[in-house]
Amino acid sequence: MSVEWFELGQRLRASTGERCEPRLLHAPMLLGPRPVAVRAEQHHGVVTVAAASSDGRGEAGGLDGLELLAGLGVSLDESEPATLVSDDPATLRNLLALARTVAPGSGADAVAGHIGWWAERADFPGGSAVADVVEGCRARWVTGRAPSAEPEPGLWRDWLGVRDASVAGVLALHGLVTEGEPLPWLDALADDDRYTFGQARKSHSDGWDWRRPDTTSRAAVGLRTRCDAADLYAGALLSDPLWRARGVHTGEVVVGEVCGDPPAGQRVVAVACGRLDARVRAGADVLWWLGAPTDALPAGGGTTGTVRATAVSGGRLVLSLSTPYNRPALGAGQEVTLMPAAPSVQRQRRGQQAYRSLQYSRRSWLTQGRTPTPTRRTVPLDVLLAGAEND
Amino acid sequence: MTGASSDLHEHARRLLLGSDLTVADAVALASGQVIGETLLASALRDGWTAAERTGEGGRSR
Repeated sequence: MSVEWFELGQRLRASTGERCEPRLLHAPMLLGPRPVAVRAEQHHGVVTVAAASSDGRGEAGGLDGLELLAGLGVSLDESEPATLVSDDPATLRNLLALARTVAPGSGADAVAGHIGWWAERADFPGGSAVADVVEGCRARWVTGRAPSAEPEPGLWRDWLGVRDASVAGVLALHGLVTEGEPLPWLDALADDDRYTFGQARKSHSDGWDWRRPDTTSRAAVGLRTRCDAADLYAGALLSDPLWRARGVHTGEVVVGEVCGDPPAGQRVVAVACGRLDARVRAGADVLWWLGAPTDALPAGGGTTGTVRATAVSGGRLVLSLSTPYNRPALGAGQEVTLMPAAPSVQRQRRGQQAYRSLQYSRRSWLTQGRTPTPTRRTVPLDVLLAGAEND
Repeated sequence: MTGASSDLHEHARRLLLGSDLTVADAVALASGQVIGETLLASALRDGWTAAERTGEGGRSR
């Protein structure tokens, strides 16, 4: 894979021009209706919270920190969720530690429950419950520095011209990351956030303690929705022309040329690719179009197809691409770009609804703990990594 | 590569190990001052020109 060299080219340009180079044309996260910037630090067991939103800002320690957050609208008593905007991955961990000190059913439990909801939603990629602005900056741009320097929020403030190093500056960075047209399907992921916030509010009013660990069936539904969110976000990234340019070097996006002059009725077309490191496999559903990876997709979003077989011939990877009957006319040597077909939001929703109904049905395999009929699927790497983490 | 941070220089040097290229050579290849035929050269050039090809400018400091 040549993606490291591709990114090095971007970094060298950023360094020479002393400006951030874009990785994406679109915003990788949504602004959200109620962003609240928070930094939470823990010293000698006391958590200090600094927070800012359009409603004000402040700093407080211990349970007063939760009161500060409540004043900024972080509570399960609110009808809409607040977005946690942070530039430090320790913040959510420290907030969660603080939330766990609150007695169940006490006045601050609605704030603590909201923090518990943040913690649950934090590992949903592309979601609008929790926004790590440093991750957002790294998704959207590269700097003229080494990747090892980029987890530092000060570097991003410097490169993006944000002078305010206080917690209010985190909101300014968030504003830059979310500027412009967002990636597609982020609104669908935000809908999921709102749905689960509604569930969290209902559970809270029913007296359910958010600290209790998930039941097996709830954990199964959670895993399913996390996988779906990761798939959707991966599809959203590939809809961005700049990400597709990068994808050529990871093998996700494949560029080739039409072999021969397939007549109009010929459904299976051979595409010869210059690179052998394509990650497309036989049986994969793909989206393809005539043109380069950075071209805008044709009206209708390209043509769907399935890779029937792969072979190496004359040092080139040859894909047998099954196409629909109404495919565009193809001629020898025309440039073709292929990438994985995006998941269907509607199909994902139907699958989740089926899972949720199993969760509440007494006789389903999910609630009875029976081994279900196995179905195989790829678990996204992000989900595997999140599952492997201890906390 | 004047003005490059030392961490980027070190990062680039490691990525170029085994290629006989210096960091300055990589800048020349990436920026198109020198034309290269290798996978490394075309990947560097692709990265350098990616934003240009989509009509997107960078974000100035």
